[in-house]
Amino acid sequence: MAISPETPQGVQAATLDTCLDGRHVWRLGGSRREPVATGLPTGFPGLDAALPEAGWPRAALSEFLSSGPEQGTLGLLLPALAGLGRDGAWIAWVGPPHIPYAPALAAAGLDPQRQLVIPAAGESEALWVAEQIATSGACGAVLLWADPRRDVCLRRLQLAAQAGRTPVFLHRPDPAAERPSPAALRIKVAPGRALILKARGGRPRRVALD
Amino acid sequence: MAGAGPQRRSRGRPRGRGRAAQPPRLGSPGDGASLPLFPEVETPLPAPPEPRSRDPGGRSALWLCLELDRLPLDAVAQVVERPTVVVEERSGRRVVICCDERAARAGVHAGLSRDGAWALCPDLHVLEREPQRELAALERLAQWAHQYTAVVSLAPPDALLLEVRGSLRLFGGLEVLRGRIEHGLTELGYSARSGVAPVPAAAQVLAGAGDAIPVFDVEALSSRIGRLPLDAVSWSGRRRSQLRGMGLHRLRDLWRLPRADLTRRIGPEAMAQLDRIRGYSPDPRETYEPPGRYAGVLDLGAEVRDATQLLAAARRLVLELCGALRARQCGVATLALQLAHADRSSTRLEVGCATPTRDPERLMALLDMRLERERPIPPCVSLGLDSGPMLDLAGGGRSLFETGTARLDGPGPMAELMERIRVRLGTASVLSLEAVPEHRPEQAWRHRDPPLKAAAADAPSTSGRARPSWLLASPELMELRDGRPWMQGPLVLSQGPERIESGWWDGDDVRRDYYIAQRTDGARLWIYRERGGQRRWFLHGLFG
Repeated sequence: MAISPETPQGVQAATLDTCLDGRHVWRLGGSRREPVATGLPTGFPGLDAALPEAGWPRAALSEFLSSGPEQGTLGLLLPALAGLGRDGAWIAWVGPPHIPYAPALAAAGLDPQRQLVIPAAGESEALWVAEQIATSGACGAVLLWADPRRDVCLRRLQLAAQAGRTPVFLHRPDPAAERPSPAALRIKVAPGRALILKARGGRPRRVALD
Repeated sequence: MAGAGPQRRSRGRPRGRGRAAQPPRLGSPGDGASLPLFPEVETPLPAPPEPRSRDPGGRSALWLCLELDRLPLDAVAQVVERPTVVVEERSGRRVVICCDERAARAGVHAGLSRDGAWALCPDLHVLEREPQRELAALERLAQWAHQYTAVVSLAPPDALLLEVRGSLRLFGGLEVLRGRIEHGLTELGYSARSGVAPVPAAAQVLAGAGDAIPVFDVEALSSRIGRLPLDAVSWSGRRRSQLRGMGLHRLRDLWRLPRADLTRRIGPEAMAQLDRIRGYSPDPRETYEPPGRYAGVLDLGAEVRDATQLLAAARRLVLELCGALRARQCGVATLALQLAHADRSSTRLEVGCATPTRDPERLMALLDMRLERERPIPPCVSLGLDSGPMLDLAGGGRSLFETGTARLDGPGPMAELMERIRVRLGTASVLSLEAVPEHRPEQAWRHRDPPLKAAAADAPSTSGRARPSWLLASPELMELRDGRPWMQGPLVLSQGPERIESGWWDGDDVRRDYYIAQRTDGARLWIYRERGGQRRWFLHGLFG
């Protein structure tokens, strides 16, 4: 039966499309929709193909789970951050585990002067700062190193990311993978590979990098 | 009308402006010993000094006096639902000096001994008077009152004086202004009586007598004040009874007495006070200068653990703060509530909001949220509220002189964001990075203040050598096994050595061989070996 856009069914069909495009519905089976490239390109073709928005979610919380900073989470983000930096955006680093090394950032295409480093003293401070930055929308992205124990903190970060249309990249130790999280994307990172644990509108899958 | 006598006389005299008080002239010659108590006949009265109706600026002042008649009680947040009194030690026994309505209904009144009050009202809640607490409350109210006029003066123990002539037009007249102030005081939890007169001392007398009808003209002062009983002047009970013994009941009875005789009876100080009340001598008052931050403490009068009661008490402080902020056209972005507990410990709850505000509802909502996280609350005996720095409200909020146009040259979102973070975490909390052309890895970067104007990005001066994205703040000595660096397994040196020898000229020299090492799990590390000394291995960076 052909559904004309004027009929009530047409209206419903349009609503369903919106739902599917909005990534709020997980579609089981059937034909896979082509990824709508609304995400922030990651710079890794394999990863872009695996992510439902063909990139990092732009106005949401993403979680990076790893056993430490040497596991390559930052390397996974640097191409996307460099892309943001080319548009003159600030990148906020909240509570980084070590010194972000300016020569390496410059080599990766980031302008060290457009990095905002906030070495927060405690977790509550770090979360507060990240929320403020994300809500203000003044930065292109927020990188946060923290392990919020309570669900409400994650929820607030997610809301802040939505409100300020700023991607928040939360780096957590990997035991947190056991606990549920409202983040739009959860990805477990180890050198050379990534495991997508949860992606809004997509499926869990393993991705080999480079 | 008898009280009008001196009035008429003074009006007949040639007038001069701004003259200082003249020394009281003697009414009748003769020595004091043979002086009759009061002359029978109406001798020509000594001319009193000129009423000082105008201040040097030529604009007549108008003083609003707020007498806080229950200050000892109101300075405490009364959270207990019981009859409450404040007692003070007077000549060895505790005497009630102030009581609330519940206690008054039971028959308790000021002057009653504490035991007497207890007998009338067994579940009486008794508080000790603390003059310091009252003075602090008075000062906080002065800060709050600054929103209505720039000239606020303290009149301890229990009164505030506001010079309101300049504010009448702005607020739409005396009655509107007075209504707002009195409503505000009620909201803050203070009961007050007010009086309006062209001189401060007269305003105090009117307020003390509960005479709310304003006096605008200094010429009318003597007759209006004259109607009031002697009790309206804050004299000691002894002097009052002395005067009453002389058959004097109203102030105008004093006006009719010869100056010199009266001075001898009541002393020059009391005479000078009378002169100030009638506006005959100058009455300079010290203007209260509010401090740059607000800090208020409110005793709870009992141990409180209920959040609703705590918030009700905190609300009084928040309203005071918002008044003080309105006075300065400012807002706050951070606020700290200090809960003092019965065991002398205290809890400090800090809240911050995204933009500076002076909206009491918004601040209360924040405190409410913050208190929610603190359950259970140990019993509290007092509350303190500390404002953060007072910040200019840029564009937002309702300000007196803003006409709806936002500030055009306001700071951008980035500057506002940094300001907010710095307010909360300190100035050194927000930094930016800079690459430095330098061979020594530790000195190839530095922190700098974030440049707000987008500077022309200098071309990245990369040597083409791989550099780790994370640098350790100080190199970490590595574990060795079989003479090789070890970290969760043997490390494989995949690149290197890159020799860095530099800095011998500034005493901070570096002689190292850098390698990129691969751990068994694939993680890449930046390590080096000293080229002199013990030739130890160090971890210096991580390829994240």
